[in-house]
Amino acid sequence: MLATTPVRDDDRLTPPVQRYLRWLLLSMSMYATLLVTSIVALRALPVDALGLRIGFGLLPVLPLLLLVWAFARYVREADEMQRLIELQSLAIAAAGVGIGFLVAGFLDSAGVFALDGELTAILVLPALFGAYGVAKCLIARSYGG
Amino acid sequence: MNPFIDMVRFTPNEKRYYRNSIAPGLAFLASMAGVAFLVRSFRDDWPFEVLAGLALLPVLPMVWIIKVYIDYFRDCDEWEKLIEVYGIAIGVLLVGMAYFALGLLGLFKLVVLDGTLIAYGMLPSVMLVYSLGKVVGRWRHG
Repeated sequence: MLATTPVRDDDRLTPPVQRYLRWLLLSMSMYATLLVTSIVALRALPVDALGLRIGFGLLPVLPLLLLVWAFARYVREADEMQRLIELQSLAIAAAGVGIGFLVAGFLDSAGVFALDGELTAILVLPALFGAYGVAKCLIARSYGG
Repeated sequence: MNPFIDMVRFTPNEKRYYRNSIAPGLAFLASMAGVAFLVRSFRDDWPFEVLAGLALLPVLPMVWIIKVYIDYFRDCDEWEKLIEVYGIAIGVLLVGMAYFALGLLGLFKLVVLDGTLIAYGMLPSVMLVYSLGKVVGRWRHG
């Protein structure tokens, strides 16, 4: 979740935003590292070591949990106005992406196209983040940001 | 204040919201059943464009439901608005993370995922976790 709106005080990032961006950088670096580790480990592990495979398969989720925690902390520390913008953006992203996936489900049922389960599941979070970024820009602008 | 009890003690605005949700909710259920029946019965007879248009019909009552929710949200006071968006944010983040974890397991061929079910399940999952998120929001913000 990138900070896409002006969250500056006299052209300087506010301390909560600075902290959030540090955690964002750290968690994204960890994510890239763990994703590569996970792929390499899964190629090397035997097929019957299911527990280990699930463990390594889920490794990249850990830095994302860290990111969610950092975002929650940022929202807690942000001022009232910024908090409202962040939360409203997430709400709008949820409604938009939720309806989008529902539409995809209907079209899949009608045989318009065939949805790939893995791709669909993995796309939900990036779609939410993308929609959140767009919603945040629009809401911040509507508040005169 | 007990956040669990407050979930079932409705303000006039909430009562109006639930009343106004009945019609679009029923319309959604009826359109889902009707569309499922028509698409299954005429899948081979009707042109592709008609089937695609028909399949999208249940989106209309869903948009109506969201419109009713937006009206409700506008009438909420500042505190209620904060709780609402708090609940949605928690719902979005938890469901997004769960879907991502599932997607990773599917991508590495550790589980088999049904794309249709996954796509259908997203919005109801967010709505369900949103209710729990509201309880957390009320508890956190007194």
